[in-house]
Amino acid sequence: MLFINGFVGKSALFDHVAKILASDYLMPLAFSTIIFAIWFIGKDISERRLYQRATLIAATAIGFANLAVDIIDSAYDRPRPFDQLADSMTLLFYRSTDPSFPANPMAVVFAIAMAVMLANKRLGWWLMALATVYSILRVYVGTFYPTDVIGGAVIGILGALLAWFVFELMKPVPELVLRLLRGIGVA
Amino acid sequence: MSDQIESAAAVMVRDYVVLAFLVSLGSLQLATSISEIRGLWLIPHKQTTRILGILLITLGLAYYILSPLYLEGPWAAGTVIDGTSENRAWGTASIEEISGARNVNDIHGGMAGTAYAIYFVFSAVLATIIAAAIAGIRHRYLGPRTTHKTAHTSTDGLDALKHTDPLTTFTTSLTNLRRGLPLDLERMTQTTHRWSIPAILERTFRN
Repeated sequence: MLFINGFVGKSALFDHVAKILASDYLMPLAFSTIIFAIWFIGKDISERRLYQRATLIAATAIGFANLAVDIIDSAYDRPRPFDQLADSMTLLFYRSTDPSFPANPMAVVFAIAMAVMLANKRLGWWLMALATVYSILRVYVGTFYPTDVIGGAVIGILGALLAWFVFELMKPVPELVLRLLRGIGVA
Repeated sequence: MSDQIESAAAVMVRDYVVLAFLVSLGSLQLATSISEIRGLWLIPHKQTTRILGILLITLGLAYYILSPLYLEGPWAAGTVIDGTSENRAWGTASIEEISGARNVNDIHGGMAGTAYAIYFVFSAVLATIIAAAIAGIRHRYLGPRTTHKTAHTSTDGLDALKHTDPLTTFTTSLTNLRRGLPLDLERMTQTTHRWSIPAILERTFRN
């Protein structure tokens, strides 16, 4: 953690870019926009249905991941790195007050990346890479330990796989939901 | 202090909704230009729609990141650089403060993760409705209701939007849903796993 955060101050420009990219709004917005946009993508109805299913799985996975993070937070209150290592690190972000482990933003972005990967491997890998960059930047600005972001990533990926399994278990309910949405012209 | 937090929260929500709306509308234009869903285009040209999509996304991000330079909010004074959003002064941000200006803790007027999700969904739905309304008006008053000879009543949903306006798509899709739902349900049930919960329930109640 100190190794990654140790680069803070070497380049003022990079620090400014890191503060924007590691923010609460930018990356989650980018990931949310992608799962919104892929709803409308697809050469034909079967391909579009695959992507629309991925959007629904991603939304469900975010719910599962957030639930898991809340449960772990209530059982284990890990202090933030800026509280434990105040003298040896530089904080570029606000002082978060919720538990450090697991990293909730990572759980969300990795859940979306995994859900997209189930429909489109190439796009999924790109999103995994973007989520990894986001994770490293969150450690860089001093809000999380590396183990926090790894924990968040694992929860997000497992949340997406669980959502996929629930969708399989509930067949044909997800297909019926998509059929009803097609019935009002939006799917 | 609590009044300032409330004002900060209102500013953060307002600006985020503007950002999410513009980015959603832009990405909608990009996505529909790729899949040629003409019924949601703001402009009836593929390339122009694509460029408009990129412009809307850029405009949204530029507004959100740069507006603290001009609009007053909870981002002024040097505390931003110190990495804490506590006790920030109200005002405009300097260029040095701009990268961290929006990083405000939710207990000091920033937005919580759930709020980001709720306002994004709201903005994305609003963007879709506005795109459909504008495209519908454009179809009705400025162009033919059916743009392709291939349009027929058996297509519905987003496929129908490739050829017709949103209103026609809505009525056709609803009619097809009413007529075809029993058959669709039967087909869906036939392709279901034996161990799926609805299939198990169906077998249990049938026996």
